[in-house]
Amino acid sequence: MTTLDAAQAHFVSRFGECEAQLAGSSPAWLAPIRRAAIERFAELGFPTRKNEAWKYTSVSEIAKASLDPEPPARDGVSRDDIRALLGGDVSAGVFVFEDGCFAPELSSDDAPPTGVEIEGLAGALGKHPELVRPLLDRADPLDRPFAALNGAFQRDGAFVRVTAGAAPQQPIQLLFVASPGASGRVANPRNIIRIDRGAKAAVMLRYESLCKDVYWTNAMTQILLENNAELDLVSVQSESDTAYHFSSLDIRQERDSRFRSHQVALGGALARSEIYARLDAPGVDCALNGLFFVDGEQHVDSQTTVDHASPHATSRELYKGILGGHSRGVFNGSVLVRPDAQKTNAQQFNPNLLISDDAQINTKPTLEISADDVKCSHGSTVGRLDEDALFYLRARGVDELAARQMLTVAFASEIARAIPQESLRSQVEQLVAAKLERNQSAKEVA
Amino acid sequence: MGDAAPMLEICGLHARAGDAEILKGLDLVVGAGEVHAIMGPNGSGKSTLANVLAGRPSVEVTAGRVLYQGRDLLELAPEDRAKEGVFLAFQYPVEIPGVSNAYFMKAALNAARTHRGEDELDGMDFLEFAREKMKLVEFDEALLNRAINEGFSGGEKKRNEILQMAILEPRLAVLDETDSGLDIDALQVVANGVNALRSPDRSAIVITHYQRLLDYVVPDFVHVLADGRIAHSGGRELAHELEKKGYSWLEVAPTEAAAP
Repeated sequence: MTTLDAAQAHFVSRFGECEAQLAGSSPAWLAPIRRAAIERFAELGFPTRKNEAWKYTSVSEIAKASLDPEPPARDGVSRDDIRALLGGDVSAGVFVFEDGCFAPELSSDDAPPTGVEIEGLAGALGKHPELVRPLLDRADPLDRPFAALNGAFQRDGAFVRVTAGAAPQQPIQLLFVASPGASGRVANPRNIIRIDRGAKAAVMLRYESLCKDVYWTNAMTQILLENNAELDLVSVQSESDTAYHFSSLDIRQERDSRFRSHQVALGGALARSEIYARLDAPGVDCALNGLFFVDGEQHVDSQTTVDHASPHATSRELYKGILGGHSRGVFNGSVLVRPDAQKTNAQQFNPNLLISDDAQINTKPTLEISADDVKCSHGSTVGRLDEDALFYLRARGVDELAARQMLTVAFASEIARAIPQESLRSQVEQLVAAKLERNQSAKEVA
Repeated sequence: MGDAAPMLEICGLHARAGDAEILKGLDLVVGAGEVHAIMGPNGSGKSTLANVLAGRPSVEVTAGRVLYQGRDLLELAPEDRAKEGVFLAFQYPVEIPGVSNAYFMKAALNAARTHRGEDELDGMDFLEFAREKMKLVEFDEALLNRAINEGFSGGEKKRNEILQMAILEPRLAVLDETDSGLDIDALQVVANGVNALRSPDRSAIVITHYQRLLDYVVPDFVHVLADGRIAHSGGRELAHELEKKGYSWLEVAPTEAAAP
């Protein structure tokens, strides 16, 4: 039996042992959904590198780690811990999830803004079955093994609903914290974000950690934008450098809805994100912006699929990579234009910046077009800091290190600048600056 | 040494860019307070000389020495030359998306100030200081908050160079064809920037194709660079002569002079 097979068997057998306990407080309709998910996972298994979608990312380290899908007994994350992570008080609109489970006592005491409902998914299962069940019951269009694993072991996560016509000014910030007790475990947060007809909101998903050991965050987030709804989703992954972080994101967009994703990946030993956006109705606008910035021995993998299933939709994708140390990056972006998706306008671009000689990126932007009246472009670049720009800055008295930092920040800044909400943008800028700071000091030590 | 040393002393300078030897034994002395114009045909080595002085890494000095105020200039990193008061106005200023002009100039000025043991200027003080200088070079303040040179017109880029020069107040300014492609108004702006810095303890090397700029920035000396060496030197009247006759009448002389 290979390591991958053994890990697969381990999770399947752990499901058998946990099933009754998982079912405990959930509504009865969830049990067959979980069961179908584990069966799907048993069929898919841990992917090998023969699988095209996993060609450049090996999961054998995770398989070897034999992590336990039982969630950790929550290990006393305190308000002070949260304050330290945020660099200040828990402000209104911040909701905290410890090891994937909603922690109201760590969250803001203020009521959510008018028109916004927020709670743990575990609570929403009973209260809003009509809103969550169709999403949880939906087959994964991409057959992602770890999305299936999440489906089997899901217990809790965030449920966010912005009701029809509401436009809360304040962003909704969902802070996921791995507790020290996450060591050796897998957390499977399941998030549902619904923006009802004509509503407009900004939501941040921020993954942070207090755990310095090996652990695995295996998140799945489903987003539904109803007709004419608008969402800015800022996802920041800032896990420990010992973490495995997988996140699957499903977006379904109805007529005339506008979705902008701003995804920033900074942490993790091995981090992979898989985005699937289905543009299901005419007039839809979808923007996927991303920044991955890794160094040391990190491996980061960004997979995106934009599925144009309807005419007159626009998608723009810009993923930027910064790779230092011995890090490895993977970008695999595909744009699918189905036969009746005429008048599609789709752009995709993945520029990468290598800031060390030993870093590597594998980038593969692909277009698959089955309609004839469309405007599509795609491309990727891999380069180093522009020597002419570097010399220009130095010739004015800026030290070489500072000049390199300035140019690296400048490369990254386009992604942060696209975030309309100032409070979210500044968090992203600070986290990117802190990452650069750590990268520089690591270099000085070496 | 100290006061006695000239601003710049170049002896037997040889330099290559890529495989080609461009400078082939260049000698030049620039005294404090002097403005020297360097003219010459394309490919004669004018820009290479400018780049050697600023320390561009892709230009390799293979022989000779360059003393700046009596110190070995070639030993210094580009940023240290700048902090010591050497300034190059680029022939082709670089566009740098994502770095604001204001942020960059403040960083540059504060690097020099820190080096001189002066306090850094904060944002407000810097802006006040920069506004004075912007007036001098008729610089649109809106450009200060844009990314460095991004989407600037040719004239705006050159003004930006002169603004940086005005802000950094160098001891030795090297202008690499700053006047190329400028209309007469922009040319006067460039000239104002250079003339405003003229003082007994500052010097400038003005590299140009055209005598026109030298009507506004009147040089103390004019040199003709040909095939990597100074082929001819004279006073300001040499520029007019070159304008009338071109360079061909000079080209024989250096070869003969160089023959043993």
